[in-house]
Amino acid sequence: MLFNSLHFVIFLPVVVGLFFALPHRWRTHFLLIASYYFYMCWKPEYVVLIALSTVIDYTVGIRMGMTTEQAVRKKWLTLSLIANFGLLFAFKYFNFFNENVRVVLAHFNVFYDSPTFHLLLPVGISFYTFQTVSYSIDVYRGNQEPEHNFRMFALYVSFFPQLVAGPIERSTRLLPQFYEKQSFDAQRAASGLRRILWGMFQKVVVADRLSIYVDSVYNNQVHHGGLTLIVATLFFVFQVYCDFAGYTNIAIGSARIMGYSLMENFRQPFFAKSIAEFWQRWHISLLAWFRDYLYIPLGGNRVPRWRWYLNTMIVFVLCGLWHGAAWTYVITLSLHGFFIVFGNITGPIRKRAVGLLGIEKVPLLHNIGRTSLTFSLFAFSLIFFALSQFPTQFPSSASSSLSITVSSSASLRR
Amino acid sequence: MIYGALAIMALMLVDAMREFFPEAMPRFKRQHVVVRFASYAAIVMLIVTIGVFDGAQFIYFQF
Repeated sequence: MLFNSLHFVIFLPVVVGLFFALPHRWRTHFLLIASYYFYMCWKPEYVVLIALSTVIDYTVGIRMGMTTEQAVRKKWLTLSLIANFGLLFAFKYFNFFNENVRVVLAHFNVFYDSPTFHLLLPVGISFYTFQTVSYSIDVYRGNQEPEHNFRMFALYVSFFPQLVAGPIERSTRLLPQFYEKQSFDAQRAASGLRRILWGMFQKVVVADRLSIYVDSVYNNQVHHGGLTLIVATLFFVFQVYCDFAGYTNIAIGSARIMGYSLMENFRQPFFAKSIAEFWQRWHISLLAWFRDYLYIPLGGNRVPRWRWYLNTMIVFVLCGLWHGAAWTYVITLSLHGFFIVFGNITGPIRKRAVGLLGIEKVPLLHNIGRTSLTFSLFAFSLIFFALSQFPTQFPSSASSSLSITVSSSASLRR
Repeated sequence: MIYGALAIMALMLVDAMREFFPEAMPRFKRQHVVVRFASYAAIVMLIVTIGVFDGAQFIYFQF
């Protein structure tokens, strides 16, 4: 079910109405049913994956809570990681991995007839996988008590506003909210409706309106000149932003009407003055996940400088892979990692240059320059992202090697 | 294309207000009910008149 569909326009008021009409003790039962219905509207059989992930992590949490022995807890955590990432790998990365192995082996004249799974990528699998994994890690670290109520845990995994495209919530934030007794608050509902309205504006007025132009240009790349392609690329930047931020606003607004608070995922990203700052404003929940569960365990920035650069690149390469099983995503996000590292290396030189030119005496100009440069770098990196969305028509071999994808992403969009 | 460009301008205006004048939104909420509802009605009208309802999937669904 899409947020921008008539189905959802009927679904949400019905769910909200019944939610407040029911006694408190039945509300989470009802929300769980509504959430599963929401997901099953897309492809009913894939709900099994969410249920499987839920059962695994619920069991893992309980088992970890039953022992204080670190080695045993680690085994349960390992089981959770293998099961969750195993499912993600099978459904999202298997064909990509196989295709790459085939290409590499072909270079050595070894011909490998790789099997291909013809599976449709389960909607939101990366989002709910990361959410369940974060719960297991938090329980392992002792940051979260194991959840004994299966219904509450299942709702945490499948809560419909944020099930298919985030924000990737933490159990420490969302689970306690399900225990709170929510009563209808007109002001809060109005605030939620405002968020939904703004999200709808971003999606159907900005993103989908821009996509008409972007699609027409990118689907006929060879027939368009440089200026048209530049305009289409700029439009694509705003399309991606409004598409995702619009979804997030509708998700936050829908949850807010029922009294639940979801984390913010965007904070005016195009006003960032560096790529590092940009990632504190764009898809905040994803980068926070990578920061807490990968970057900091790797040592963060409290390591020798070369190792910090390596940590940054690891995070962004994996962040690229999270986005999709295609090298284009890896290149897009790796570029961001590179920009951050390069920015750090050249920081002192740039600071000296700014001092020599006296630019810092005009802070407004300096800030406009930094913001424009950050936006330009992001727009440039998104060209590779666009290659995943549109069938390439470039006659070079580069485009074919870049477009090893699980399936045509463009077909998923419509 | 013109609608798209205008939509971007509207979006950036709102984002700029949030970035540089964070007190603007609470001030708007204190406006007279007629002003507020006229604004909401304007956004609804924009959505209905220039919004695209072709059932386009959200890009991030594929992730």
